[in-house]
Amino acid sequence: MARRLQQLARVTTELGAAETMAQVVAAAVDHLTDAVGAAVSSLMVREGEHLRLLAGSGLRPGVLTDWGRFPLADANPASEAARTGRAVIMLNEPGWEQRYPSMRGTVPEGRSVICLPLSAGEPVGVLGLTFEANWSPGPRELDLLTTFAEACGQAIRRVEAAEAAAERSRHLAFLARASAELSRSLDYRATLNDVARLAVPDLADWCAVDVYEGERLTTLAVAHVDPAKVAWAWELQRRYPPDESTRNGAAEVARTGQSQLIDEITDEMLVAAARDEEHLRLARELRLRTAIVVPLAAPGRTLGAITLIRSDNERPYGPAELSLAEDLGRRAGIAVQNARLHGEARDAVVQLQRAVLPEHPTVAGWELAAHYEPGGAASVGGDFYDALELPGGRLALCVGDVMGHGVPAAAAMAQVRASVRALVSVDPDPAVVLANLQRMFTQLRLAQLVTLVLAVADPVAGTVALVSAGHHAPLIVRRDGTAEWLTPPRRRLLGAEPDECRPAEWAFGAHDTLLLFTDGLVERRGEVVDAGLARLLSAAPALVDGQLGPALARLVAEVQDGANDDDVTALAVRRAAERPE
Amino acid sequence: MGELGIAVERQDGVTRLDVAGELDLATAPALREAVAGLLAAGEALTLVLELSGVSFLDSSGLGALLQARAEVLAAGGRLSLAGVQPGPRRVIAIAGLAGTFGIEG
Repeated sequence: MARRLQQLARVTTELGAAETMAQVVAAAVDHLTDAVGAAVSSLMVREGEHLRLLAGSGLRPGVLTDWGRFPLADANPASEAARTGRAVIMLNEPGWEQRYPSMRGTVPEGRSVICLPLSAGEPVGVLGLTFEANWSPGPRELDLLTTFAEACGQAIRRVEAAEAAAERSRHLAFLARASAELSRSLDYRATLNDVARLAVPDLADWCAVDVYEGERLTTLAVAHVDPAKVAWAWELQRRYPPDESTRNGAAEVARTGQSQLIDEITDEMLVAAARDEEHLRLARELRLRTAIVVPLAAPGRTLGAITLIRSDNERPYGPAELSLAEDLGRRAGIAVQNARLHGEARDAVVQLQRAVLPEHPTVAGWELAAHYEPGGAASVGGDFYDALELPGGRLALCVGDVMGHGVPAAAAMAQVRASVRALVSVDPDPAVVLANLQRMFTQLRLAQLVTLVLAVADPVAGTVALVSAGHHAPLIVRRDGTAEWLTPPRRRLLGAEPDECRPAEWAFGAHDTLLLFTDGLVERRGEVVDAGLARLLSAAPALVDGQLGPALARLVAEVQDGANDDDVTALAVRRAAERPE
Repeated sequence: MGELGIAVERQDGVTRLDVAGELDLATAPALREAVAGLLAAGEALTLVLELSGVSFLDSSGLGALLQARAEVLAAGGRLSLAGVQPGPRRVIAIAGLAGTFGIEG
């Protein structure tokens, strides 16, 4: 007796130190059973209006499934204890099966049954104990068991609170990561893929993002926890696109902006939603268990919906996941709108750029090729080039880069290009043009920074004169394929304090090819620009073969960094073939 | 694109701004803000931009450096660069600004 009481006290202490549900179970089921000499013990926790059997010892096979989850309203000792908050104690009572008819046959004749509410304020669960027919606990043990049950209730509360806090901090960490990821890309579809990828597997086994493109709701991103099923999930979405006529799912959420939480997807729901037999078969195969659909919400409008689904053996979604998903939907909506606006802005800049730049510059007596490729959403806008006919068969060439991006850079580019044209027509000497440009920048207090290179080629003298303001030196490829840099005296870029301007002149023969370009052609992250320049120098001899246009396109493709986000501009020129030497 | 690490240290009347990361379109605003913050007090600064942690510099980053220089000078101070890595050094040199920033091209 004394030993039992001691053991019971020790188990109660053990419970006080429990930090996980597994420790609570170990104390309440395994250790307590030994301490009090119970034949059977079971630990049940309250879930809303139900009790769920968490663990047990000495249970008959089948009890865990039969009594896995049962209503609080049922007539049985455990439900009654949880409902009333009072212990149900039946010591060697023969007639208790009359009291609880549904319990008939579940407990062998003559056993004592005790159901103790696990109280922490209101009952959070029930501890059930069954004793052998010839034994039952005494009054002091009953007292201690009551104390134990209270400690158990408090331990469960504590563990649940700790788990909820841990889940909240996981959710917060998830949202922080989501925000960082979502702000990374300005590409609209890439952003949607980020959303889907983020949700799996933390929040869902399967995620689909549907977005209005015009009037139609279209699935634009799908992610699945099993990579093998991604293609399958896409196929399902393709064959059965969001149905705008139903009152359920993505279409309804996108239309109303109201979230949906389906804690348990029943087979009836699948049957009701299925378009045909095949659809139903596929939906059943996915083993959908629980779903959340939230709006992809930008300020003032709903752009679409995010569908999150968990498959079987997963906990049903609850209010915590719903609010997390809604938060994700808001952040994703803003990111998507941002990316869309940037996409529109980029299109506008590219149009502006294309309107200003000559696509196929032509000057009599010269073979010219231009390559212009706008950069990504964030950096399009600053590059420009031009080719002008001068008296005496001469040719003025210009390639430049306005620092900055977007509409301001494109507008400044158009302005600088027009100024160069005007200045060249007054006096084409490149040194004079550059000095005048510098004066213009100082006088007009232009805030833009511009780099440019100016060249004037003279076919009669067989020369090219160059100046550069903070720009990469042009490259010349001789008739025999040797390539060399034409490095003019170094000048500051426009917009910095002006400095002295000296031109330089090189031989430019009838079969030589001159190449002007911007840094987008040679720049790569993670390497010194000299590496890109070396790449260009070794690939440049190919420019002398065949027509200049295709040769330049090949050269650009070979040299440029596909991952670069910058504008890429190259302008190549040589004397026209038909012109006699 | 990544984050720009910026740390400030003051000693013997010299303010050192330790910059680390890629100085580009995405991060240039952070440098501008940091310099603007230092200038907010209105005093003439002797500012050293410690760039040994800057592995990449593009034209936007260059613009931020030039703007920082112009603002520090306008407030009666001085600005110099230290620890410039070869990559950024080339970018500064190509822009013709090696002399402006007092570094070897």
